[in-house]
Amino acid sequence: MTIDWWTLGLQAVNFAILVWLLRRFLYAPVRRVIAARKREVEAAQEAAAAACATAEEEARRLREARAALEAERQGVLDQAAAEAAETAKAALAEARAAAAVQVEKAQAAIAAERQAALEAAQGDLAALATGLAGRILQDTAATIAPGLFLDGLADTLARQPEAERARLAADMAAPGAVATVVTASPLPPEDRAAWSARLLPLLGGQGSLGFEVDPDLLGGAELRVAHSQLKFGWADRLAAAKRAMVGNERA
Amino acid sequence: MESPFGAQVLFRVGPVPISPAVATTWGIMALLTLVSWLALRRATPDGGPVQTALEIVVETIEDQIRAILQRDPGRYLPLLGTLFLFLVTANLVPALPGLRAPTSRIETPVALGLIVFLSIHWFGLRETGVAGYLGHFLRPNPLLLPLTLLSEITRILSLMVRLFGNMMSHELILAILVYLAGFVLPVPFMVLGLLIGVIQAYIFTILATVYIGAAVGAVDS
Repeated sequence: MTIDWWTLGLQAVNFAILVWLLRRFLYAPVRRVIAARKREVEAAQEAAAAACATAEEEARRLREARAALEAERQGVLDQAAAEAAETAKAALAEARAAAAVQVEKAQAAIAAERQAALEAAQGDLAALATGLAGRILQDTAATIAPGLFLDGLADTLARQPEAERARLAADMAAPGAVATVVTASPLPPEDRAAWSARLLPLLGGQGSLGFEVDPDLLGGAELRVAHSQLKFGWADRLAAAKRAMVGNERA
Repeated sequence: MESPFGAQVLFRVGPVPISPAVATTWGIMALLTLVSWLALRRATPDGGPVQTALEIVVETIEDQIRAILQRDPGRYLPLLGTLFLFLVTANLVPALPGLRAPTSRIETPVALGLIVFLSIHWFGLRETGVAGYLGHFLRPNPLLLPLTLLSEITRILSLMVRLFGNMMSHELILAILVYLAGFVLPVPFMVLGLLIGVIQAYIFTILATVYIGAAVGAVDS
Protein backbone atom coordinates (compact mmCIF):
# COMPACT_ATOMS: atom_id res chain seq x y z
CA MET A 1 0.00 0.00 0.00
CA THR A 2 1.39 3.32 -1.05
CA ILE A 3 0.01 6.77 -0.58
CA ASP A 4 0.57 9.32 -3.26
CA TRP A 5 1.43 12.33 -1.15
CA TRP A 6 1.19 14.59 -4.16
CA THR A 7 -2.34 13.47 -4.74
CA LEU A 8 -3.15 13.79 -1.05
CA GLY A 9 -1.81 17.31 -0.94
CA LEU A 10 -3.44 18.28 -4.20
CA GLN A 11 -6.78 16.91 -3.02
CA ALA A 12 -6.52 18.87 0.20
CA VAL A 13 -5.68 22.00 -1.74
CA ASN A 14 -8.39 21.23 -4.25
CA PHE A 15 -10.95 20.90 -1.48
CA ALA A 16 -9.81 24.13 0.11
CA ILE A 17 -10.12 25.86 -3.24
CA LEU A 18 -13.53 24.31 -3.76
CA VAL A 19 -14.60 25.63 -0.35
CA TRP A 20 -13.54 29.08 -1.42
CA LEU A 21 -15.17 28.78 -4.82
CA LEU A 22 -18.48 27.56 -3.49
CA ARG A 23 -18.39 30.10 -0.74
CA ARG A 24 -18.10 32.80 -3.37
CA PHE A 25 -20.33 31.40 -6.11
CA LEU A 26 -22.88 29.37 -4.19
CA TYR A 27 -23.29 30.10 -0.50
CA ALA A 28 -22.80 33.86 -0.63
CA PRO A 29 -25.30 34.41 -3.49
CA VAL A 30 -27.80 32.05 -1.92
CA ARG A 31 -27.54 33.78 1.44
CA ARG A 32 -27.82 37.15 -0.25
CA VAL A 33 -30.93 36.02 -2.10
CA ILE A 34 -32.40 34.57 1.05
CA ALA A 35 -31.60 37.74 2.95
CA ALA A 36 -33.13 39.83 0.16
CA ARG A 37 -36.19 37.65 0.11
CA LYS A 38 -36.41 37.90 3.87
CA ARG A 39 -36.16 41.67 3.58
CA GLU A 40 -38.86 41.64 0.92
CA VAL A 41 -41.06 39.49 3.11
CA GLU A 42 -40.43 41.76 6.06
CA ALA A 43 -41.11 44.79 3.89
CA ALA A 44 -44.26 43.14 2.60
CA GLN A 45 -45.26 42.32 6.16
CA GLU A 46 -44.54 45.89 7.22
CA ALA A 47 -46.48 47.16 4.21
CA ALA A 48 -49.29 44.77 5.06
CA ALA A 49 -49.18 45.91 8.66
CA ALA A 50 -49.19 49.52 7.51
CA ALA A 51 -52.04 48.78 5.12
CA CYS A 52 -53.83 46.99 7.92
CA ALA A 53 -53.26 49.96 10.21
CA THR A 54 -54.44 52.29 7.47
CA ALA A 55 -57.48 50.10 6.91
CA GLU A 56 -58.20 50.03 10.62
CA GLU A 57 -57.79 53.79 10.77
CA GLU A 58 -60.10 54.12 7.79
CA ALA A 59 -62.55 51.76 9.42
CA ARG A 60 -62.38 53.76 12.64
CA ARG A 61 -62.89 56.98 10.69
CA LEU A 62 -65.83 55.43 8.86
CA ARG A 63 -67.28 54.23 12.15
CA GLU A 64 -66.95 57.72 13.55
CA ALA A 65 -68.46 59.21 10.40
CA ARG A 66 -71.28 56.71 10.59
CA ALA A 67 -71.83 57.56 14.23
CA ALA A 68 -71.83 61.25 13.36
CA LEU A 69 -74.30 60.61 10.55
CA GLU A 70 -76.43 58.57 12.92
CA ALA A 71 -76.35 61.39 15.46
CA GLU A 72 -77.13 63.90 12.73
CA ARG A 73 -79.94 61.70 11.46
CA GLN A 74 -81.29 61.34 14.98
CA GLY A 75 -81.01 65.10 15.42
CA VAL A 76 -82.86 65.70 12.17
CA LEU A 77 -85.49 63.17 13.19
CA ASP A 78 -85.86 64.79 16.59
CA GLN A 79 -86.08 68.21 15.00
CA ALA A 80 -88.61 66.96 12.45
CA ALA A 81 -90.59 65.30 15.21
CA ALA A 82 -90.51 68.51 17.25
CA GLU A 83 -91.51 70.56 14.24
CA ALA A 84 -94.24 68.07 13.42
CA ALA A 85 -95.46 68.17 17.00
CA GLU A 86 -95.36 71.95 16.96
CA THR A 87 -97.16 72.03 13.63
CA ALA A 88 -99.72 69.55 14.87
CA LYS A 89 -100.15 71.56 18.03
CA ALA A 90 -100.60 74.75 16.02
CA ALA A 91 -102.95 73.00 13.61
CA LEU A 92 -104.88 71.60 16.55
CA ALA A 93 -105.08 74.99 18.17
CA GLU A 94 -106.12 76.54 14.87
CA ALA A 95 -108.67 73.80 14.37
CA ARG A 96 -109.92 74.28 17.87
CA ALA A 97 -110.14 78.02 17.34
CA ALA A 98 -111.92 77.50 14.03
CA ALA A 99 -114.20 74.97 15.66
CA ALA A 100 -114.84 77.39 18.49
CA VAL A 101 -115.65 80.09 15.95
CA GLN A 102 -117.90 77.68 14.08
CA VAL A 103 -119.52 76.61 17.33
CA GLU A 104 -119.92 80.22 18.32
CA LYS A 105 -121.36 81.06 14.92
CA ALA A 106 -123.62 78.05 15.09
CA GLN A 107 -124.68 78.98 18.60
CA ALA A 108 -125.27 82.54 17.46
CA ALA A 109 -127.19 81.29 14.46
CA ILE A 110 -129.14 78.94 16.64
CA ALA A 111 -129.82 81.73 19.10
CA ALA A 112 -130.78 84.04 16.28
CA GLU A 113 -132.98 81.39 14.75
CA ARG A 114 -134.35 80.64 18.14
CA GLN A 115 -134.92 84.34 18.76
CA ALA A 116 -136.44 84.73 15.34
CA ALA A 117 -138.64 81.70 15.89
CA LEU A 118 -139.52 82.99 19.30
CA GLU A 119 -140.26 86.40 17.94
CA ALA A 120 -142.22 84.88 15.08
CA ALA A 121 -144.11 82.73 17.55
CA GLN A 122 -144.66 85.76 19.74
CA GLY A 123 -145.77 87.75 16.74
CA ASP A 124 -148.08 84.99 15.64
CA LEU A 125 -149.34 84.59 19.18
CA ALA A 126 -149.79 88.34 19.57
CA ALA A 127 -151.53 88.54 16.23
CA LEU A 128 -153.71 85.63 17.19
CA ALA A 129 -154.40 87.10 20.61
CA THR A 130 -155.07 90.57 19.32
CA GLY A 131 -157.13 89.14 16.50
CA LEU A 132 -159.22 87.20 18.96
CA ALA A 133 -159.39 90.13 21.32
CA GLY A 134 -160.24 92.41 18.42
CA ARG A 135 -163.10 90.17 17.31
CA ILE A 136 -164.33 89.84 20.87
CA LEU A 137 -164.09 93.59 21.40
CA GLN A 138 -165.70 94.24 18.04
CA ASP A 139 -168.58 91.97 19.03
CA THR A 140 -168.88 93.46 22.50
CA ALA A 141 -168.34 97.08 21.35
CA ALA A 142 -171.66 96.95 19.58
CA THR A 143 -173.35 96.20 22.88
CA ILE A 144 -171.50 98.95 24.74
CA ALA A 145 -172.79 102.47 24.42
CA PRO A 146 -170.04 104.82 23.16
CA GLY A 147 -171.02 107.22 25.94
CA LEU A 148 -169.35 104.91 28.41
CA PHE A 149 -165.99 105.91 26.90
CA LEU A 150 -166.47 109.59 27.73
CA ASP A 151 -165.18 109.25 31.27
CA GLY A 152 -162.12 107.46 30.12
CA LEU A 153 -161.33 110.01 27.42
CA ALA A 154 -161.99 112.86 29.85
CA ASP A 155 -159.71 111.32 32.48
CA THR A 156 -157.04 110.84 29.88
CA LEU A 157 -157.32 114.43 28.80
CA ALA A 158 -157.27 115.59 32.39
CA ARG A 159 -154.06 113.64 33.14
CA GLN A 160 -152.25 115.35 30.26
CA PRO A 161 -149.39 117.61 31.36
CA GLU A 162 -150.27 121.25 31.83
CA ALA A 163 -148.12 122.31 28.87
CA GLU A 164 -149.89 119.83 26.61
CA ARG A 165 -153.25 121.05 27.76
CA ALA A 166 -152.15 124.63 27.23
CA ARG A 167 -151.05 123.83 23.71
CA LEU A 168 -154.35 122.04 23.04
CA ALA A 169 -156.24 125.05 24.41
CA ALA A 170 -154.17 127.29 22.15
CA ASP A 171 -155.10 125.15 19.18
CA MET A 172 -158.73 125.25 20.10
CA ALA A 173 -158.52 129.06 20.51
CA ALA A 174 -157.90 129.41 16.83
CA PRO A 175 -160.84 130.68 14.87
CA GLY A 176 -163.03 127.83 13.61
CA ALA A 177 -161.05 125.27 15.54
CA VAL A 178 -162.81 121.94 15.77
CA ALA A 179 -161.84 119.04 18.04
CA THR A 180 -162.94 115.79 16.44
CA VAL A 181 -164.17 112.85 18.50
CA VAL A 182 -163.76 109.55 16.65
CA THR A 183 -165.75 106.53 17.86
CA ALA A 184 -166.23 103.00 16.50
CA SER A 185 -169.98 103.48 16.32
CA PRO A 186 -171.94 106.65 15.82
CA LEU A 187 -172.81 108.55 18.96
CA PRO A 188 -176.45 109.26 19.51
CA PRO A 189 -177.30 112.97 19.20
CA GLU A 190 -178.14 113.18 22.88
CA ASP A 191 -174.67 111.86 23.80
CA ARG A 192 -172.84 114.30 21.51
CA ALA A 193 -174.01 117.23 23.67
CA ALA A 194 -172.86 115.48 26.79
CA TRP A 195 -169.48 114.81 25.16
CA SER A 196 -169.18 118.45 24.12
CA ALA A 197 -170.19 119.66 27.57
CA ARG A 198 -167.64 117.43 29.17
CA LEU A 199 -164.66 117.78 26.86
CA LEU A 200 -164.69 121.39 25.65
CA PRO A 201 -164.07 122.82 29.12
CA LEU A 202 -161.02 120.60 29.38
CA LEU A 203 -159.82 122.06 26.01
CA GLY A 204 -160.05 125.68 27.14
CA GLY A 205 -163.77 126.13 26.54
CA GLN A 206 -163.33 127.49 23.00
CA GLY A 207 -164.09 126.00 19.55
CA SER A 208 -166.50 123.23 18.80
CA LEU A 209 -166.51 119.47 18.90
CA GLY A 210 -167.02 117.34 15.82
CA PHE A 211 -167.80 113.63 15.61
CA GLU A 212 -166.61 110.91 13.24
CA VAL A 213 -167.00 107.17 13.08
CA ASP A 214 -164.13 104.77 12.50
CA PRO A 215 -165.03 101.04 12.93
CA ASP A 216 -161.35 100.22 13.12
CA LEU A 217 -161.21 101.67 16.59
CA LEU A 218 -163.20 98.63 17.79
CA GLY A 219 -164.23 100.58 20.82
CA GLY A 220 -163.26 103.54 22.88
CA ALA A 221 -162.68 106.97 21.37
CA GLU A 222 -160.02 109.31 19.96
CA LEU A 223 -159.75 113.04 20.25
CA ARG A 224 -158.07 114.86 17.39
CA VAL A 225 -157.11 118.47 17.91
CA ALA A 226 -155.31 120.20 15.08
CA HIS A 227 -152.15 118.07 14.79
CA SER A 228 -152.58 116.28 18.11
CA GLN A 229 -154.34 113.01 18.80
CA LEU A 230 -155.51 111.83 22.20
CA LYS A 231 -156.13 108.15 21.79
CA PHE A 232 -158.47 106.17 23.99
CA GLY A 233 -159.50 103.55 21.41
CA TRP A 234 -159.40 99.82 21.85
CA ALA A 235 -157.59 99.31 18.57
CA ASP A 236 -154.68 101.32 19.90
CA ARG A 237 -154.74 99.43 23.15
CA LEU A 238 -154.70 96.15 21.25
CA ALA A 239 -151.81 97.41 19.10
CA ALA A 240 -149.90 98.42 22.23
CA ALA A 241 -150.69 95.06 23.81
CA LYS A 242 -149.51 93.32 20.65
CA ARG A 243 -146.25 95.27 20.63
CA ALA A 244 -145.76 94.42 24.26
CA MET A 245 -146.40 90.74 23.52
CA VAL A 246 -143.86 90.59 20.68
CA GLY A 247 -141.34 92.39 22.88
CA ASN A 248 -140.97 95.52 20.85
CA GLU A 249 -142.59 97.54 23.50
CA ARG A 250 -143.59 97.02 27.07
CA ALA A 251 -147.21 97.70 27.76
CA MET B 1 -8.30 -3.29 -12.46
CA GLU B 2 -5.70 -1.11 -10.84
CA SER B 3 -5.04 -1.36 -7.13
CA PRO B 4 -6.78 1.33 -5.07
CA PHE B 5 -3.63 1.58 -3.05
CA GLY B 6 -1.31 1.93 -5.98
CA ALA B 7 -0.02 5.24 -7.34
CA GLN B 8 -1.48 6.27 -10.65
CA VAL B 9 -0.33 9.13 -12.81
CA LEU B 10 -2.48 10.54 -15.52
CA PHE B 11 -0.01 13.19 -16.55
CA ARG B 12 2.59 15.38 -14.96
CA VAL B 13 2.78 19.10 -14.45
CA GLY B 14 6.47 19.58 -14.01
CA PRO B 15 7.50 17.39 -11.15
CA VAL B 16 3.93 17.04 -9.90
CA PRO B 17 2.17 13.87 -10.94
CA ILE B 18 -1.50 14.36 -11.64
CA SER B 19 -3.54 11.32 -10.75
CA PRO B 20 -6.97 10.52 -12.22
CA ALA B 21 -8.51 11.31 -8.81
CA VAL B 22 -7.07 14.82 -8.92
CA ALA B 23 -8.21 15.33 -12.47
CA THR B 24 -11.69 14.09 -11.62
CA THR B 25 -11.74 16.39 -8.61
CA TRP B 26 -10.87 19.31 -10.87
CA GLY B 27 -13.74 18.35 -13.08
CA ILE B 28 -16.03 18.17 -10.10
CA MET B 29 -14.78 21.54 -8.90
CA ALA B 30 -15.36 23.02 -12.33
CA LEU B 31 -18.80 21.50 -12.54
CA LEU B 32 -19.95 22.69 -9.12
CA THR B 33 -18.49 26.14 -9.64
CA LEU B 34 -19.90 26.48 -13.13
CA VAL B 35 -23.36 25.35 -12.13
CA SER B 36 -23.33 27.67 -9.13
CA TRP B 37 -22.09 30.59 -11.16
CA LEU B 38 -24.52 30.05 -14.01
CA ALA B 39 -27.49 29.59 -11.70
CA LEU B 40 -26.68 32.39 -9.29
CA ARG B 41 -24.82 35.01 -11.29
CA ARG B 42 -28.01 37.03 -11.57
CA ALA B 43 -29.68 35.73 -8.46
CA THR B 44 -32.91 37.47 -7.55
CA PRO B 45 -35.57 36.70 -4.96
CA ASP B 46 -37.71 35.47 -7.84
CA GLY B 47 -35.16 33.11 -9.30
CA GLY B 48 -35.55 30.25 -11.76
CA PRO B 49 -35.90 26.55 -11.01
CA VAL B 50 -32.15 25.85 -10.87
CA GLN B 51 -31.61 28.71 -8.44
CA THR B 52 -34.52 27.51 -6.39
CA ALA B 53 -33.11 23.97 -6.33
CA LEU B 54 -29.72 25.27 -5.18
CA GLU B 55 -31.42 27.37 -2.52
CA ILE B 56 -33.27 24.31 -1.29
CA VAL B 57 -30.04 22.32 -1.15
CA VAL B 58 -28.17 25.04 0.71
CA GLU B 59 -31.05 25.67 3.11
CA THR B 60 -31.40 21.96 3.81
CA ILE B 61 -27.72 21.72 4.65
CA GLU B 62 -28.05 24.83 6.83
CA ASP B 63 -30.99 23.32 8.66
CA GLN B 64 -29.02 20.14 9.32
CA ILE B 65 -26.04 22.11 10.62
CA ARG B 66 -28.27 24.31 12.73
CA ALA B 67 -30.04 21.30 14.17
CA ILE B 68 -26.78 19.72 15.25
CA LEU B 69 -24.74 22.75 16.27
CA GLN B 70 -27.64 24.72 17.76
CA ARG B 71 -26.27 27.95 16.37
CA ASP B 72 -26.07 30.02 13.23
CA PRO B 73 -24.66 27.78 10.50
CA GLY B 74 -23.11 30.61 8.50
CA ARG B 75 -19.58 30.07 9.80
CA TYR B 76 -19.65 26.29 9.23
CA LEU B 77 -21.63 26.17 6.00
CA PRO B 78 -18.72 26.61 3.55
CA LEU B 79 -16.75 23.69 4.95
CA LEU B 80 -19.57 21.28 5.74
CA GLY B 81 -21.71 22.21 2.75
CA THR B 82 -18.79 21.85 0.38
CA LEU B 83 -17.89 18.58 2.03
CA PHE B 84 -21.34 17.18 1.37
CA LEU B 85 -21.68 18.52 -2.16
CA PHE B 86 -18.21 17.37 -3.13
CA LEU B 87 -18.68 13.92 -1.65
CA VAL B 88 -22.08 13.44 -3.26
CA THR B 89 -20.75 14.51 -6.62
CA ALA B 90 -17.56 12.50 -6.25
CA ASN B 91 -19.41 9.39 -5.15
CA LEU B 92 -21.83 9.67 -8.07
CA VAL B 93 -19.09 10.13 -10.65
CA PRO B 94 -18.86 6.37 -11.31
CA ALA B 95 -22.29 6.63 -12.92
CA LEU B 96 -20.49 8.23 -15.85
CA PRO B 97 -18.66 5.76 -18.05
CA GLY B 98 -14.89 5.64 -17.65
CA LEU B 99 -14.77 7.70 -14.48
CA ARG B 100 -13.97 6.56 -10.96
CA ALA B 101 -14.88 8.16 -7.70
CA PRO B 102 -11.99 10.16 -6.26
CA THR B 103 -13.09 8.91 -2.87
CA SER B 104 -12.31 5.36 -3.89
CA ARG B 105 -8.65 6.34 -3.77
CA ILE B 106 -7.17 6.51 -0.30
CA GLU B 107 -5.61 9.94 -0.81
CA THR B 108 -8.95 11.78 -1.14
CA PRO B 109 -10.61 10.45 2.07
CA VAL B 110 -7.34 11.02 3.91
CA ALA B 111 -7.12 14.57 2.63
CA LEU B 112 -10.71 15.23 3.60
CA GLY B 113 -10.19 13.56 6.97
CA LEU B 114 -7.17 15.73 7.66
CA ILE B 115 -9.08 18.84 6.71
CA VAL B 116 -11.91 17.83 8.99
CA PHE B 117 -9.45 17.04 11.76
CA LEU B 118 -7.83 20.45 11.46
CA SER B 119 -11.21 22.16 11.17
CA ILE B 120 -12.47 20.55 14.33
CA HIS B 121 -9.64 21.99 16.34
CA TRP B 122 -9.75 25.31 14.52
CA PHE B 123 -13.43 25.81 15.26
CA GLY B 124 -12.98 24.51 18.81
CA LEU B 125 -10.15 26.94 19.54
CA ARG B 126 -11.96 29.80 17.87
CA GLU B 127 -15.22 29.17 19.66
CA THR B 128 -14.06 28.29 23.18
CA GLY B 129 -10.56 29.72 23.37
CA VAL B 130 -7.28 27.90 23.92
CA ALA B 131 -7.84 27.16 27.60
CA GLY B 132 -11.43 26.20 27.17
CA TYR B 133 -10.71 23.98 24.22
CA LEU B 134 -7.73 22.24 25.77
CA GLY B 135 -9.66 21.90 29.00
CA HIS B 136 -12.38 19.91 27.35
CA PHE B 137 -9.85 17.11 26.74
CA LEU B 138 -9.54 16.76 30.48
CA ARG B 139 -13.21 16.20 30.99
CA PRO B 140 -14.80 14.20 32.39
CA ASN B 141 -11.57 12.91 33.99
CA PRO B 142 -7.98 13.95 33.31
CA LEU B 143 -6.97 10.33 33.58
CA LEU B 144 -8.88 9.70 30.39
CA LEU B 145 -6.72 12.20 28.45
CA PRO B 146 -4.77 9.50 26.55
CA LEU B 147 -7.93 7.81 25.53
CA THR B 148 -9.48 11.12 24.60
CA LEU B 149 -6.53 12.04 22.42
CA LEU B 150 -6.55 8.58 20.92
CA SER B 151 -10.25 8.91 20.11
CA GLU B 152 -9.58 12.22 18.40
CA ILE B 153 -7.35 10.38 16.00
CA THR B 154 -9.27 7.17 15.67
CA ARG B 155 -12.59 8.80 14.92
CA ILE B 156 -11.05 10.73 12.07
CA LEU B 157 -9.34 7.58 10.97
CA SER B 158 -12.62 5.70 11.06
CA LEU B 159 -14.25 8.57 9.18
CA MET B 160 -11.85 8.39 6.29
CA VAL B 161 -11.55 4.62 6.26
CA ARG B 162 -15.35 4.26 6.27
CA LEU B 163 -15.66 6.44 3.23
CA PHE B 164 -12.73 4.93 1.45
CA GLY B 165 -13.72 1.37 2.32
CA ASN B 166 -17.29 1.73 1.13
CA MET B 167 -16.45 3.41 -2.13
CA MET B 168 -13.45 1.23 -2.87
CA SER B 169 -15.20 -2.00 -2.01
CA HIS B 170 -18.14 -1.02 -4.16
CA GLU B 171 -15.84 -0.48 -7.10
CA LEU B 172 -14.16 -3.80 -6.44
CA ILE B 173 -17.48 -5.61 -6.34
CA LEU B 174 -18.57 -3.98 -9.57
CA ALA B 175 -15.29 -4.90 -11.21
CA ILE B 176 -15.58 -8.51 -10.07
CA LEU B 177 -19.18 -8.70 -11.26
CA VAL B 178 -18.30 -7.23 -14.63
CA TYR B 179 -15.46 -9.66 -14.90
CA LEU B 180 -17.60 -12.65 -14.00
CA ALA B 181 -21.07 -11.81 -15.34
CA GLY B 182 -20.68 -9.26 -18.08
CA PHE B 183 -22.37 -5.84 -18.26
CA VAL B 184 -25.97 -6.55 -17.33
CA LEU B 185 -25.80 -8.01 -13.87
CA PRO B 186 -23.79 -5.12 -12.34
CA VAL B 187 -26.49 -2.55 -13.22
CA PRO B 188 -28.52 -3.02 -10.00
CA PHE B 189 -25.28 -2.86 -8.05
CA MET B 190 -24.40 0.36 -9.83
CA VAL B 191 -27.75 1.84 -8.78
CA LEU B 192 -27.10 0.58 -5.28
CA GLY B 193 -23.72 2.23 -5.51
CA LEU B 194 -25.35 5.58 -6.16
CA LEU B 195 -27.39 5.17 -3.00
CA ILE B 196 -24.30 4.13 -1.09
CA GLY B 197 -22.46 7.18 -2.40
CA VAL B 198 -25.17 9.56 -1.18
CA ILE B 199 -25.41 7.80 2.17
CA GLN B 200 -21.65 7.88 2.67
CA ALA B 201 -21.53 11.56 1.80
CA TYR B 202 -24.29 12.21 4.32
CA ILE B 203 -22.60 10.11 7.01
CA PHE B 204 -19.23 11.73 6.46
CA THR B 205 -20.70 15.22 6.62
CA ILE B 206 -22.93 14.53 9.60
CA LEU B 207 -20.11 12.95 11.56
CA ALA B 208 -17.83 15.85 10.74
CA THR B 209 -20.57 18.21 11.92
CA VAL B 210 -21.00 16.24 15.12
CA TYR B 211 -17.26 16.31 15.78
CA ILE B 212 -17.17 20.05 15.19
CA GLY B 213 -20.19 20.41 17.44
CA ALA B 214 -18.38 18.53 20.17
CA ALA B 215 -15.40 20.80 19.77
CA VAL B 216 -17.44 24.01 19.99
CA GLY B 217 -19.41 22.69 22.96
CA ALA B 218 -22.70 22.19 21.17
CA VAL B 219 -22.58 18.40 21.30
CA ASP B 220 -21.39 16.09 24.05
CA SER B 221 -18.34 14.26 22.87
